[in-house]
Amino acid sequence: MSVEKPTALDVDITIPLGSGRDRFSVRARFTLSKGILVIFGASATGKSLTVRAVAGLVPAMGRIRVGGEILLDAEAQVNVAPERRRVGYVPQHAALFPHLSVRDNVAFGLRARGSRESSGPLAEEWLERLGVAHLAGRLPRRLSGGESQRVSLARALAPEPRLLLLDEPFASLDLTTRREMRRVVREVQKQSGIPMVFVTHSPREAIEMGDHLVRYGPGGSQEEGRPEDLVEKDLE
Amino acid sequence: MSDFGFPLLLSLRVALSALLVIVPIGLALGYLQARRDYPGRALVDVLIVLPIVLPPSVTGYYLILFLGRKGILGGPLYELSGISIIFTFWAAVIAAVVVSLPLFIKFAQAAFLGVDPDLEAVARTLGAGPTATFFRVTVPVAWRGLVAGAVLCFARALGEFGATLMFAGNIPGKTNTMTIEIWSAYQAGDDARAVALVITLTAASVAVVLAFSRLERLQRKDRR
Repeated sequence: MSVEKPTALDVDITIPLGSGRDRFSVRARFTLSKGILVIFGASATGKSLTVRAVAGLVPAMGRIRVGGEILLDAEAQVNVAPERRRVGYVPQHAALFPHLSVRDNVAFGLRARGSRESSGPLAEEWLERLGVAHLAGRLPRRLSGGESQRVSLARALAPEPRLLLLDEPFASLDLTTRREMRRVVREVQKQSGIPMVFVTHSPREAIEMGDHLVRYGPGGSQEEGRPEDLVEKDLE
Repeated sequence: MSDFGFPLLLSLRVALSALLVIVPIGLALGYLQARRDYPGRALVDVLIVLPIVLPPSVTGYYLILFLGRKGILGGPLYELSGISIIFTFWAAVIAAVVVSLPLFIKFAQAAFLGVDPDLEAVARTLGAGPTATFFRVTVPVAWRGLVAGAVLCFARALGEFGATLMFAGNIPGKTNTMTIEIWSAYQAGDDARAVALVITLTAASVAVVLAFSRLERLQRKDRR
């Protein structure tokens, strides 16, 4: 019997939606061994909902395993709260805490997990790694879109999550910044080894970012495979 | 012109005590109404708004009905412990709470609705539990709206008259608040005293309106 290394992410869930007659559900099944998994598809196919369910932010049925640890097993009544999943989340609009400085935004997760003294220096270190150390003292409303996403990324990475979820993080950025940010994310992924799930509706971004891809189609269909194979036809 | 230090102090004490009761209840109910969907939510919304619309004398009558010495709750309380709320300082506080709580809840609800739910979601994924998220993210972000609500609510409590008169009465040295004292002075034909009281309360109201509009301006600047 061989000892298998646990997969980075193992998802097999159903997310119930609506109520009464409008009841329907999103079904999601995929695994990731390492690197970046891209969830690709048109809007309103349940991509965002899937990552929110993996983070524990919306109720789901089924099973979710991250690095071998069970986060959700509806049958066994296991449902780990979002604050104990150690799953990072970067939403489309950076969602920086407007009342906290850039430094305190990044330190938020470190403090919440109890490392109070080291949180300041560690936050600075992450800002440095993402090239925004010079912004540490600023308030979020004084940042550009690209800067905001760098800070949001630093904030999600600082508490060393087991998995990072990025929900169309660059959708509202201009093309140049977007290209730059893709490079940053790929680099951070390689250095840190943290597995990532990256949601996008852009075929180019899907190919550039993904080691592995799940394609969400109309009517709840899903295909899993290599990015080149699955989104080729979407590139004109 | 006779001294009106007691009624002024009493009004302030009543309004402040009311505020201390209102803020925790209002934060909880305002958040519940802003963020959670549960059966009976619409009914709770109606019940919250009702005291804003009800004539204060009607509210006062309900208070007597429930908390009076022979009331539905007040009756058993008096028989068991000898405690009677009606015509006391606490009666004035309860009247002020009931008429001004809805205002604070509505402001808190609006302030919480203005907080991007993604902020709370991110806070949770960063390791903050629901309570820590509420106090470290939701409340600080909604801060100005909450303070504006508290300021208006305090003003409403300070100006409460109808329900207070019904439920706390007009007992000199005990429940004669500013507004009730104005009415008494007018009834007694003591115009000088009435005018002095009126000017004091008008000044207080203007101060409240100024504070409120300043808060609103700052809030708009925050959102930009």
